[in-house]
Amino acid sequence: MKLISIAHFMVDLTCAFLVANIIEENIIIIILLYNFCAFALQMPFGVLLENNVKCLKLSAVGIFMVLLSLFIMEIPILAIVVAGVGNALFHLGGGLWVMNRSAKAGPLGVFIAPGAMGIYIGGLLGISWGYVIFLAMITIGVLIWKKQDIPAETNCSEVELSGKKFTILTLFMVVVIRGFIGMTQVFEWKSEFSFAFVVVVVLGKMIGGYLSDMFGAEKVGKISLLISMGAFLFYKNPFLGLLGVLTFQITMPITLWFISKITYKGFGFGLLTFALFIGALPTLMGFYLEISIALLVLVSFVLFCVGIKQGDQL
Amino acid sequence: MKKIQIMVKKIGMLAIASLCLSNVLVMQVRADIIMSPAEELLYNKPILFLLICASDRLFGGAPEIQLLIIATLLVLLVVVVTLILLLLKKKR
Repeated sequence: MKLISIAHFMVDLTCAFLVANIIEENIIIIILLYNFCAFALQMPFGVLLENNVKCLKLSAVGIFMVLLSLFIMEIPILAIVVAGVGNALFHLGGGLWVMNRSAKAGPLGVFIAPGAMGIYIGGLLGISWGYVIFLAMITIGVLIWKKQDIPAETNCSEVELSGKKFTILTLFMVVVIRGFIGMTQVFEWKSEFSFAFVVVVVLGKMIGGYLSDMFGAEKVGKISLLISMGAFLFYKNPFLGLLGVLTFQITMPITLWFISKITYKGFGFGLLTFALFIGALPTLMGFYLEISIALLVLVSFVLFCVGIKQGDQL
Repeated sequence: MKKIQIMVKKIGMLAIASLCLSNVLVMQVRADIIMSPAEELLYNKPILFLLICASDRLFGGAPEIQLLIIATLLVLLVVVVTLILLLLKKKR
């Protein structure tokens, strides 16, 4: 579990390092393409690969692809596509492995949490860090490749999707809103508290799964979204803003865990990363919409309540 | 196969509707495309219509519109491929 979480941190760090150090005139296209490959492609990959490959091998292939992208930085588009696809394969393999190992939400939270820190640190590192990143990535890649894997058949699950479409759609929309908010959170204090901001994002994702295991997904999700909504009403205060971010992030592992319970694991995982991409799309394309964050969290809360209630009855 | 065709057609219609909603088609498409041949295309061959509009905007539109078209097509591609894979999986 520790290794795959560290690997997640390193993979996202390397990708952020790559994007930050690529010299390309049309950086918007580069960022859009990277996000498309890394997030949107997880959905078809999830359906295609979940029954056919071993999870950790898939993750290791992803790590080596991200590693390869560092050597082709002179061809930015190719480097970005290779890194993005590698990132998608890593996340999918790692996510499936974690979900197969444990039916609880806690480990899922621990797996997804370090990514945000990786992106933050990777974006700060200059090109001279390339060698260090290379060594760390190759070590992690080999360790994951050698780690004892779960048979591919474990991923197979007989799932009937009819009757669950509404629940899937509502949870999808919750994550779209989360993706949108994640990209548009423009707080005046954000630059001053940038590290604290990333720490609460990581913390929220990490504790969300465990809280859900302890007190139930529905209860934790609802309470955390309500607190988040209240805190975002006073987002100009850095501490309340950070509280809003923390409690908002708590629902991340919960939605992921819940959707993997009611649909194919690979598809469910990919569907929600696709939702993150859809949510981020307006900002990635340069459209800035001024909508109250508290209002968006309220919509998210309503969708979450409806979706999870319906899902529980299935 | 028929199910897939119907599904692709539906998604095409949905894409056009969403593009219209976002004012891209309404504001940007040239007047001659909106005339009757285009309407015929829209109802009979929605995918082709979408592609014509997309290429029209892609090669002649403003950068942000080009980006929007690229992103829309990429998203549609992913959705269609995933749905086809899901159907195939179900059949198996």
